[in-house]
Amino acid sequence: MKKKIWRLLVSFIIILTLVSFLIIFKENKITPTLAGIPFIFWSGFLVSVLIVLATYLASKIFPYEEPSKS
Amino acid sequence: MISWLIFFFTIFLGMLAYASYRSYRKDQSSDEFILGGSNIGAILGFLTFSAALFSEFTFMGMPDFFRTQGVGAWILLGLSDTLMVFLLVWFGYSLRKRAALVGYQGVAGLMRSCYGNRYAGYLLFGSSFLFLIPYVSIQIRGISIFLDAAFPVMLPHWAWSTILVVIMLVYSQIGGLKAIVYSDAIQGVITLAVIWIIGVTCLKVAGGFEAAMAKVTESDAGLLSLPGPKGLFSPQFLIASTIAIVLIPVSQPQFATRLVVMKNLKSVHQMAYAVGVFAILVILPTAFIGLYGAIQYPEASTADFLTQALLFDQAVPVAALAVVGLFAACLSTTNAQIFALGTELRSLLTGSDQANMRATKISILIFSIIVLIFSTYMTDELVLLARVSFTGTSMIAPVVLGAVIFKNPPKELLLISSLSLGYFILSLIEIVPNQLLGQPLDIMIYGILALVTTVLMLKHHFTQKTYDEA
Repeated sequence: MKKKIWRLLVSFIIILTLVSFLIIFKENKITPTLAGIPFIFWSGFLVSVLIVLATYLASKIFPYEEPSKS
Repeated sequence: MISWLIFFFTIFLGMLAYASYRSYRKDQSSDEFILGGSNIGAILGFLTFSAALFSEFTFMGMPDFFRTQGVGAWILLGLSDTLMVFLLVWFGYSLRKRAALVGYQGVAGLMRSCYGNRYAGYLLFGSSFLFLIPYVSIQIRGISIFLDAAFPVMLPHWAWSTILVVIMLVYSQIGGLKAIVYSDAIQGVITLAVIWIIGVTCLKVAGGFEAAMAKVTESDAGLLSLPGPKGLFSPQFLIASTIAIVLIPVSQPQFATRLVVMKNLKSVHQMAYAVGVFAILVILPTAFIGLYGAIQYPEASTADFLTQALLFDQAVPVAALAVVGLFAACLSTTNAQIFALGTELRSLLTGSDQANMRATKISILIFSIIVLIFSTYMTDELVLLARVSFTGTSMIAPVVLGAVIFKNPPKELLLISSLSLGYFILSLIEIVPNQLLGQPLDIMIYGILALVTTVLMLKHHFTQKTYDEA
């Protein structure tokens, strides 16, 4: 199960990155604004927060064991 | 101002002295000196990683980038840093697993062991030396020019540089990595606190975020969208920058070493998301300062804008704290990188522990002198030079990734990384063009590297056994 969630999270990050750079971050796009914040700023910020949340989740369900030190 | 400066510097230097004292051991082995006992917990780990990552380039470069290039600067650093921390979850595990099996002295030594080839170690050390020395030098130059501009009658800029390097040398030579980790923790906290105080002050003066945005729209609406008023943030530039930054822990040894010396995998993972939160927290106020600058000082030079926004527009205690914060930010990155060069050199040495320890300490001193000399010749374009440094070191990422994924990594990775690195260096010294098929060279090299590396790794995967499915 943990492996499945881990792979889902990796897929989510890859898709989110591709969608962000290819679709969301368009040139000369200021609107829609959010509380006066231009689109690129708030959408970039939101994507960053989502990635950190995914990192948090990934750290909790990471499916592989701690390597032993030699 | 001077009395506040003396007050804060005394506290700061006192804390550094205490960190050195705590870390000092008379009969320290070279392993303890270089790897800090390999017992760093999550909180210290995240602070040292963050302090090494968020340098003066963040403190000074990013506000100026927001001011002159616009809000796309968030994608350049904020977004790419959070992607990097996601990579840490897997990379930290894979690197530690490989290090546990083969032994770890430094990334260059690890590469030599994994590839069974001295050249692999030299390649890693060479790329680190070539690109970290200029990066450290621009940091030192940046802070010294800033201090020289802020206090023109106090000291010349080379004297500020020398003071910084001497402080760094003293505590790193006394306590080794452990002293650096403790001092990074102190510097990380100071940097974050100071940048928020200044950011909030700037935002208040600008009338709040919404009002600031409205004023920027009136003065230069180009700052509020991509590619920015000067057209810098093209998709190619942002994608290439993101790749370079995401690969920092893979290709820059000071970060790889921090992952290996953490207490356990759980600490590495806690550190990863904590660095992500720190990244957002430390970059956000630089946007506030930058927007304030776009309103108040749209035409000012970088040095004028920074001295005004960070010093003269602040209350005196805050300005003095800003100087200490900048000093701390510069110090933490500088010490991490110079110490990493010493670590990497030592990982390539064979000989007695005592001789290696002596050689490492001498090499750190020599690297510091080289950095000091270089810092007098560098230009002032902090962010763009930092990006070149990230791009240069990232060319050897396939070598490191191959080593952590495969038991016997394909040696062809050494060849493609060497060719990419060589071609990139030739473009920097303008022997070959910095474009390929009409596109920026860096993104083209990344494309070729990604394709060839994937093909090589897939081919290898089906003919050799990997360490793990992860």
